[in-house]
Amino acid sequence: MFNLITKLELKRVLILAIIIRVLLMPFSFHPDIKVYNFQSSFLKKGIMDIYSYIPLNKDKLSIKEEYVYFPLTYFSIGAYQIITIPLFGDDFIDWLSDASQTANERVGVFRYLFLLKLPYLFFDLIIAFLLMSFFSNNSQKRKVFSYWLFNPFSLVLVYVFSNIDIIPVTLTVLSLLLALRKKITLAALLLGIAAGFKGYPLLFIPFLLLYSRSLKERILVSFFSFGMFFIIIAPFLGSSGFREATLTSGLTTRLLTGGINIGFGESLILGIVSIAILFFYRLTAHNNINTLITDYISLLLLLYSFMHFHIQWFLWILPFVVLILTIQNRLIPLFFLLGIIGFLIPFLYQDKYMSVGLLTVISPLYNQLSLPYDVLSRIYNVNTIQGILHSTFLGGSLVLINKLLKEFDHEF
Amino acid sequence: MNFEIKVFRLTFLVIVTIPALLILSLNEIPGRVQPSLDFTQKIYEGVVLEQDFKSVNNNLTAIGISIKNPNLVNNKDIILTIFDGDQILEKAVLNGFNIPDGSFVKFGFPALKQSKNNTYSFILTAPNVLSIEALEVFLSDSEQSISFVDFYLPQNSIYLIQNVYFGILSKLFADRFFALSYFSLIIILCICLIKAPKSRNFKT
Repeated sequence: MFNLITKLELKRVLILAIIIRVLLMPFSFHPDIKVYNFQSSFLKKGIMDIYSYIPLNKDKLSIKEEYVYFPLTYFSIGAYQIITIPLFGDDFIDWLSDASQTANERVGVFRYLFLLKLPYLFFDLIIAFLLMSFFSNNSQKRKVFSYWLFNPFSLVLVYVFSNIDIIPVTLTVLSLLLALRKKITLAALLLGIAAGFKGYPLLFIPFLLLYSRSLKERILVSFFSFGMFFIIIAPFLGSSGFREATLTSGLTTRLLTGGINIGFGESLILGIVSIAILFFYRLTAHNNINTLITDYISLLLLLYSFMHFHIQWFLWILPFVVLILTIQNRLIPLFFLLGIIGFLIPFLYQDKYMSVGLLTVISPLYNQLSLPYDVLSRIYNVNTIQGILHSTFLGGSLVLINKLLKEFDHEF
Repeated sequence: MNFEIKVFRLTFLVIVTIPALLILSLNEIPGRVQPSLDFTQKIYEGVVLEQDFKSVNNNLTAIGISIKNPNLVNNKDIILTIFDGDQILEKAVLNGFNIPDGSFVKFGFPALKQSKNNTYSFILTAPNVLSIEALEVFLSDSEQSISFVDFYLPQNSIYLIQNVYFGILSKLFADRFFALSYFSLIIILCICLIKAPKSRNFKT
């Protein structure tokens, strides 16, 4: 239990954290928030299979992109819109379906962004409280709470990039907490549900299986995680739109590219090789459930190192990193440096919404600014710079993984 | 609490100053939003596309147009000539080699200083281009014209910054209900923060 001083401190920290977030929420725009909210708005019309609906109605739709998330994202966002629609006002749907350059000059756009990001605030704060539950020591609770709420990475990833991954991230944190408390089957169930939002938590399941104490528990973990995921996606498996949009989307295709050709059409896929090394290393080592967190961090660092990643994917690792940094302060500079390098890579993509475009909601003039890609390309080949950064990221990640796998011995 | 207050101040400073700092790097301001890109017109030897427009500011310095370069086959010149009546004011040339397919490209020229409220016309020609390697200029349905944007040199940085911040406030207050709720929320949070007793006032 907290004493009075700690409680008062936490209250002030929490209010300050909410103020920062409220200040950020309406004034930055990433088009993803509009795309998935536009698509999820069809739930109000009773559309249950968005994966088939979009390809069939592409001609009529102003935003024609496929729905790339798993079904629970569609149902959650759609349900949130149904509940809160009176707060948005009459023009909200017009704004959502307006794909023109002037859409963000509409009156009400700040309100829409604020309300659409409000659920993120809820999950963000839940993560802060969940992270505190990992510790029994008050000073560590206080520290992890601050590290989560006041680190610039999560602020940018959640509120500037409008990262809906905050929902599965919350579930993976809760899953880890339960796993550490030896409730492994429940942890597996939560991973299955999290994968119902976005597929990446499925990658955690083999590692969770390593910590099961008996064959029965292994079967239960597999059943609860993959079974729950299967139950969520089963109604959509018949839809070719679903298979194309989700099973062959971003993570899957990027994970399977980038290999070394070994002839006869076969290649060694670097991402898979690295994850396999991690898995078999853990399989043969003497493990304690407390090291599960280092597995998750190592796995994600390897993913980022060997893939052309999206900046939003960094949110997946962030709560785990915050937990580790609360215990091992001396790793802060290394993680911070890796974070900056990791952010710089997508910052140099030829995509205005990785940099200046994020401010176009406050003025269309930001559309006219040169992209970091364009500025740098006058001096040097940007792809080479990205390659250097990515290679540096890999080097730093390998050092970190080595340190974590060898030295981490904290008992949660 | 020191760590959190420092981060809060830093974040607040970043949120407030980044838009101003970035806008200072702006070297051209658009005079209009680009009309929709509805269809294209091929441009090659013998084809002339003409467009009139009213300059909305001084220091007109570029015209931006969306152009298709199918399969990137064109690597010859496309010329934009600006007229004031019959008098040629400026000429700008781009090479097809530098025009990616479907991209928005700018024809830049020395700024026309007293351009505000003047009516100009520009023509696009490609005298050395064969029809099989034609570029395609995007036209707009709504205005039955070339889909273009005119650009001007910014005259005053302070004015630009003011423009951005006043723009934010006017857009925010145009949705009065939201603006009032939003500021009320921030004020309530600030009051809670000030009223919340600091831990050092308590004895353990």
